[in-house]
Amino acid sequence: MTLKKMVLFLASAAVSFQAFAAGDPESTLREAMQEAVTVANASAGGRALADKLQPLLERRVCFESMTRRAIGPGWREFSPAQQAEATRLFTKLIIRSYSNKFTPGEEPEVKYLKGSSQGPDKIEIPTSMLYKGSRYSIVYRMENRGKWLITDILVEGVSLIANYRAQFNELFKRGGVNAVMDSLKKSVADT
Amino acid sequence: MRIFCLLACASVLLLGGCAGKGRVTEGEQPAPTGKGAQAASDGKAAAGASDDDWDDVAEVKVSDPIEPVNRGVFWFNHQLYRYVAKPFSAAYRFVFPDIVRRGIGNAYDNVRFPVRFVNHTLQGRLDRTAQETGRFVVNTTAGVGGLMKPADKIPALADVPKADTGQTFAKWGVPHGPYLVFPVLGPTSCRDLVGTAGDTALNPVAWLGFLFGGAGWTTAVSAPSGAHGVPDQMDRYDAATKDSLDPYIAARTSYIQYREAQKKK
Repeated sequence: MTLKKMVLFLASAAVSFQAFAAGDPESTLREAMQEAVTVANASAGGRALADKLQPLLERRVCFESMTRRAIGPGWREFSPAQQAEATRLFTKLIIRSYSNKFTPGEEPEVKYLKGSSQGPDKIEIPTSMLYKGSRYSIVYRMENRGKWLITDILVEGVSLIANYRAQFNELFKRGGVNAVMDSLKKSVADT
Repeated sequence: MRIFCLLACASVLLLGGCAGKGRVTEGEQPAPTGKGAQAASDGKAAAGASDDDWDDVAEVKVSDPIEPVNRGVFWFNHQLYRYVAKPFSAAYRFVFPDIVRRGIGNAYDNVRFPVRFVNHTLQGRLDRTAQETGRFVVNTTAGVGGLMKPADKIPALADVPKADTGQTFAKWGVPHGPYLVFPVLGPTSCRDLVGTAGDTALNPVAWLGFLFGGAGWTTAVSAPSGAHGVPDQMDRYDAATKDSLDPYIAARTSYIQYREAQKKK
């Protein structure tokens, strides 16, 4: 075996190993949902639920990527400390918003549909969720970053990240980094 | 040199966790824009090009030439929702149990069958026209005038996407035109406004006005439908604007994305 072939073999073996180690995205999503519902049902809801969900969601959701994509090209103008603070605040905002959607005791009925690959390490998993008598179409965008992580959620076609991006864009145009940071701080304080 | 590239790629794949940030790959997402999109189309995107991965999010484009006016109406609607519609919604939910509310909603939805029938046909989806007809027959008979939806239990008739006139225009390639916010009714676009007129003309509840020669009939029959829809509208409004940084932009972006998603169904 030539050196070139050996390296190609090792590289493909590394890719396969990584895919194996990352697991299956749908199973990862099912586990994440089940964990969240279990925690929500054992909690009285509100701020306490958000605090309990935070460590769990931080393992399953890539908040750093979500924040960067939501803020968009203006991210380059943030200092590393501002990027870290923006990520911390945006994470809190999303988790509190997510926690408020739960009603303790209500069990969502989720139907997982066939995922569609969006590239070598990206997938969209559509679901149909029946919650409190209403049916919702929810698509989870996931990426393999050593393990499968959620990077966006689309409810009835509305992308969480695209929605925040439109708002951050306006803020950035008006007042740059400071306007974005101030607005994030205010929203987290009001939530 | 290529050997080093391969090794570098393999190590990035193995080590790339969340903190390792993302990559830009050609054709991953719809309508990427800006620098990253250019890099991807040039084939220059590289593993670890984290600074560009915001282009994975398609930006929502919308024409809003009368934004100051729209913002004014949005503010008015927000006060109306807060002080009138929300208390009404809470009272309505208290008076009518869930099962009754769902029954009323189902019945009004069933009556709107011609809107879906005509639009599926205009969109060339005769399979869905047939499914809608089947749903109407099953729900009207076995579902006691549409109060229940037994068709949902029949796999061949369940999960038929809804169709409306604005969606038909969208599928024909008609653009949104300017975004508009109407008092009470909320957000729409020029295209969807004309679409709503079409839906009204196709709605049997509106036909009562023509048949009996007065708008009073239409109002009398459609008022409970409007009242019934308020709690759900409040839920949708809250979902779009709660926890937002700018509720006006959040509602506008949600509306455009929602309609785009319906166009693709």
